[in-house]
Amino acid sequence: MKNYGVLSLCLSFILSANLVWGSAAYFIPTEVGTSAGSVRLGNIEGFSDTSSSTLENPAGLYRLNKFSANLFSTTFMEEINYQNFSVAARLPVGVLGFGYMSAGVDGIPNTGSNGSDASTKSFYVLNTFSYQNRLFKVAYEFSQNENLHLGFSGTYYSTTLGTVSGSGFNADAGIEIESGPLVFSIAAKNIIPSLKVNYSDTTSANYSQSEELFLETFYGAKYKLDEFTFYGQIDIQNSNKKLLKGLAVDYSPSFVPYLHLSLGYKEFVVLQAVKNNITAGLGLSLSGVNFDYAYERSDHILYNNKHYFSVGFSF
Amino acid sequence: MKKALQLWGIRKENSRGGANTLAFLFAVCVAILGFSTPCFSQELSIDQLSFDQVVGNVVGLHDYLQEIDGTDNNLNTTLRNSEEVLIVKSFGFVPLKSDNQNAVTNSLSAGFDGNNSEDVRLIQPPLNYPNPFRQVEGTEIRYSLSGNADIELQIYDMRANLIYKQSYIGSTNGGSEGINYIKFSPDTFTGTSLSAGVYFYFIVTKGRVLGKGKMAVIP
Repeated sequence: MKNYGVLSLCLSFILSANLVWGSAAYFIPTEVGTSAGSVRLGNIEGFSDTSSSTLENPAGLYRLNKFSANLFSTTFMEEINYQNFSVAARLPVGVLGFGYMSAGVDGIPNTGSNGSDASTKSFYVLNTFSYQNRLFKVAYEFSQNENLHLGFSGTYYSTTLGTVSGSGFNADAGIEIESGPLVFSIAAKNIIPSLKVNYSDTTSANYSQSEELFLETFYGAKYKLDEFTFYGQIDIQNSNKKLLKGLAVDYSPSFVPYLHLSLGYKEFVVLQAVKNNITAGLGLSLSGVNFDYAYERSDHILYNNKHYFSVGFSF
Repeated sequence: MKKALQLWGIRKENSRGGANTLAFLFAVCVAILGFSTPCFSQELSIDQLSFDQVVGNVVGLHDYLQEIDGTDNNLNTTLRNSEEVLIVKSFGFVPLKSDNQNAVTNSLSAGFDGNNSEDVRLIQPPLNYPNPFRQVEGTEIRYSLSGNADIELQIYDMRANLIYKQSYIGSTNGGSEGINYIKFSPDTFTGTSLSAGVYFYFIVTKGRVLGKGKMAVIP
């Protein structure tokens, strides 16, 4: 009875939080994916066996045995470097995880202008600056019983763009329910709508702006059937009021149980339009060491391939 | 003044003993093809071209080149337009259906692109001012082209998603020789508020990237 009470409380909190809609969005680097393992599954989150659950659904940390660490990296357009690192350890009172992710761009020109007439004015480079977007997460998971698992995490956001910098805090909550071959995952990110990322400028005392940390909720399911595992997810993004679907299948042949081949379908939002993409990849799991690779196409004119790599170990 | 010219359907009746000539012509054609491969790799925009027709009796490639060159320089043509590019559209040999089974027609189509975007380049790297900028205040991209060309401006976000694409016809602002300015107002991105971060713009002509730049949006 107590379990159902906790579950009802968490579910009602997540569902009621979904009713809050906002208007401006902060770019969260985990949007590109939290690990190659999730990207190759169509960016379906919450079913990782590693510490990367810290960055997804903290309730998913229940799958850890004792300790796990994970590294993830990808580069877009030879310009934007995404990296993350996560660790998690099982303690007597639950699982504690720490995650860090960053996105960075260097060599952005800070420009000036000469003249005002179109025929005579010219632009020039004053200097260059960098962009750094970082997030830090601390997650905690505890299990009500062997089927019901709850998790919470706190996130600190930080962005630097030249002389402008911003920071903010918010929290995530998640539930995972396991029933035989079926696992449900529900996660809500940025559940406190009043908290924002606030910006200031070191060169202007009057500058004060903010960006919203929009609520995003994930409803996912995983079903294992022999050598295949099927995944499905609905992602509700409050920033653009879109409902995005994800589907994936993972095949692990019985004669090579350490190999995983996967194919995923994901939807994502570009400005106000919903687009979709196919992802593919493979995973290797040998003696607690995991390697994941994911691939997806891009519509970029020059860099039309995206590659993702993750490596981690668990014991 | 840019010169333009095209020739279609040069015909030569070859005799039975003209196999050597045919081989020579073929070799010349292969050489032309080899030197002009980049021109074949992209579609020629006929609507942007202005051709003068060569008329009269010309015999084979030698006479053809002599005709358009105006001098007999033994195939070492020095023809140039302002872009210094001779574009060979197509050439080939087709057997004639006549009593003379060895008679062939060779054809060659060539011309000078009066709006040759294959060769257009950026004189200076593109820059936007102000940078960084607030979306509500807008920014302006400046770039300088060496010639008129159809230009497409593409902007990508930090997930490498194409968020904006705009075409500019050659000789209009955006695609004209010299300096071009493209203004971005708050409504440029269909009224969507951009997240603070870096956006990447690419100056493209006919699938070829001429230059790129980075613009930073602050809240």
